[in-house]
Amino acid sequence: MKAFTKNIIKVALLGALISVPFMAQAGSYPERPVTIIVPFGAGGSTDTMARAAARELEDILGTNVPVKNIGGGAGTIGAAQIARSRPDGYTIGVIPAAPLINQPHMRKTPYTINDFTYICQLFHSPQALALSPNSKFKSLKEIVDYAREHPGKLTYGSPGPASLPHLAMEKFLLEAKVDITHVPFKGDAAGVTALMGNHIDLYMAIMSNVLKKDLNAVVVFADERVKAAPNISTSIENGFKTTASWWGGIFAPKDIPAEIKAKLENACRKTTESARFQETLYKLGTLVKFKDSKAVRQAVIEGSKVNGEIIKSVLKK
Amino acid sequence: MDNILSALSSLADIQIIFLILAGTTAGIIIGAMPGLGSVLAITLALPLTFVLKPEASIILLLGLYCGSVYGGSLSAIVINTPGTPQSAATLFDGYPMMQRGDGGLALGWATTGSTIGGLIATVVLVIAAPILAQFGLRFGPVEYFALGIFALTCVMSVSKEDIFKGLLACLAGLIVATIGQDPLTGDMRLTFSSFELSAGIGLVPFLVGLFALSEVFWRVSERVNAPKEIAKSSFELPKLSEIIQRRVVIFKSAMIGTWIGTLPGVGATASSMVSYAEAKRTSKNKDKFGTGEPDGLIASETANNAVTSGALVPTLALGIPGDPITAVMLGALTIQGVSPGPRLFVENGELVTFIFIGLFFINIAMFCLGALICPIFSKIMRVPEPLLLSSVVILIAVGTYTISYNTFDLLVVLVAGIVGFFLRVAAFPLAPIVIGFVLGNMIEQSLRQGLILNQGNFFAFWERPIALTLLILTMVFLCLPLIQRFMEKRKLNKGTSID
Repeated sequence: MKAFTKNIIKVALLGALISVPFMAQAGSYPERPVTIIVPFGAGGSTDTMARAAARELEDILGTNVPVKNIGGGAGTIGAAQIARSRPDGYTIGVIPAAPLINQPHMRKTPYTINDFTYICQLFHSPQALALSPNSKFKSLKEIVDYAREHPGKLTYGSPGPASLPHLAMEKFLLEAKVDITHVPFKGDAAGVTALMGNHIDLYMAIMSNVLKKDLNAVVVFADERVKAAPNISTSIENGFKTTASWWGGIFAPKDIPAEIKAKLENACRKTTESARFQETLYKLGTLVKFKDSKAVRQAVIEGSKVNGEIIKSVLKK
Repeated sequence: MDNILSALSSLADIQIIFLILAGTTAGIIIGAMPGLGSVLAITLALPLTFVLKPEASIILLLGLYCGSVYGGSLSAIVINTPGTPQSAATLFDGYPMMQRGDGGLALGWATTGSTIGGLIATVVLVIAAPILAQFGLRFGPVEYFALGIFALTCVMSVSKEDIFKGLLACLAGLIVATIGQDPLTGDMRLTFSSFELSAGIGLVPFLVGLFALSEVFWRVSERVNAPKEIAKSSFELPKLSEIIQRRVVIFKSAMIGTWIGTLPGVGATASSMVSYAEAKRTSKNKDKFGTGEPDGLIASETANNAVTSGALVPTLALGIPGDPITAVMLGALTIQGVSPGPRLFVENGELVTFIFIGLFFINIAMFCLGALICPIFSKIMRVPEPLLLSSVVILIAVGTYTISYNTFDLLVVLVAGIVGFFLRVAAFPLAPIVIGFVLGNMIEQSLRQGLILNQGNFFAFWERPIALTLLILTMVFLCLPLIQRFMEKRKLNKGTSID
């Protein structure tokens, strides 16, 4: 009899333990900390933004939101970790678009764009073309005219092959039908230094870096001028169609419960409405931009298609 | 002057003093743990920077930074494992000193060298930050290439007897560095369709496996006796007269470290190698390098701590981080509403002065704390070997995993450890592998960028004065021993012919 009671207790305990994860899903989410994975190193633009978002999410969700940096492989290692995490809403990622819409065209990744639940878009920063200090150019038109007469003579830098700035510039060069030589660097720090030392003529950078580093930008690839830099004309004003930005948001593993997804989407919307978050992003030279789950999913699908074609035509000749 | 006074009064705050001591101590301890490094130390403190004042957070980060770079030398000397990649070159002479029974003195030299390096670099930073930042801009791909080639010559001094084996090992390091994404075209190289390999081999897991884990295997295999308890003392500061005697090496290493620190993307690991190569080229004791020569230890440790101040030059003056650690600091500063860059010195002169004076105090605190921690740390040798070795294995595993929570890194540690063990058995020097691995990416990328910029004309590299100087120095360094040997032979021949 005693043994029987013991067994009952054992079974009951076991049952309780097994049911914990299920209860976590059915109960009021979130019941424990929600981890944000950032697929880049600490201190970078993505990381700073993710930490600012985490601070808001802690208040909104009422739980701890630790940030975990999983860098390497141009963001693919971290993105892969997010894709294969348990879809319970306790692991989410703050990811810029590149590891999703560019890298799978470059290398074999263990994920595709269909392996994620798209919660929302958080931020965007338009790409801008910066000039070296010695540059004699004053406008985009002068650059294009010069490049047309001297194909391949001008050089432009980017933070790496198949980075968003690289593809944006190639997209523009295809549109303008001119040839400017690409010099890839390893990250913005090395590239911007080379620009400031006049080792390259141009550098494609996101607007936040142009502002932070006091670069001399000649054009911003956006529909409208950036509020923090009203003197820089847009590509549209210059008669071109190319627009490009660095953007990203909160993405989670695919198939998270609809109820949790809705909660996260709502929390994300509130984050973008927070004055403190907007101010932090403004200091970083980045803009808050909310897109809901459906819209951001559409943007990823389109981005992947367009960039896949550019990569095929430019890099995989 | 006003700035200095107000900076001093901010420093006299009890919270700031506590943060200097706590940050530096934590930095030294984290740095001394193999696998845990400066980036981890700073990342752990990052959430705090959201709540602290700008002055407080920057002082905490600087303490962690300086402390961790210095801390890496402790384990390099005591257990033949660089605690951080920055101390890889400290191992070349530090551990042989330990084996000889001069471990206490080696720790003393590392402490002295690190402190003096940090102090000199801070002075340089105060005097010349904007000028240095401008000079750094003259370094383009061509100059980086020449610098990398120059640093590569330190393979010659760490190969000990067998230059051929040293060169083979270096080549292996260069090849391992090419694994992953091609830095220019984005194509995959040597990845064998493995996704994990496409990100390349991480420096920390590779280094930790190659040195630390293989050291554990080596000791377990009982091929060598651990350094015996023959250390005269657990910590011994070098005499002032000796410091004065070695002043040239110390000063030059500090300058090299500061200067290379100002170049974004080169980093403390490569700078300690450049400094080591330069010391080997000019030191009076050059023949003893690699066998436990304090000059070699000083060259590495002084330079890597000088980098900490040097790396702040482009960070503060241009808004471009000099290494991954200053990148984190830059992020923290930006969040606080301080925007580093050309305007910082004008708009936030007070904060800049505060940082300089803070660095000064941090380096002094580091010296005192080092003198306290070293004796405790060197007692590690008295821990029974089975316990020591198993703790090293646990530390390695935990430390490597926390960098990016990637199990693949643990596999890299294991494979590098096994390879390292067999290389030791075959009497291959391990240091050249790391030198090749660290410098490989920089040399490859800058060479190919330079070729793009010069329309594929390599001879254009020789038209750049800085690059030309470095390349000539390299050739002189490589050819000098041959010429000397030739001259001696001729002298000898002459002598015999007269007889």
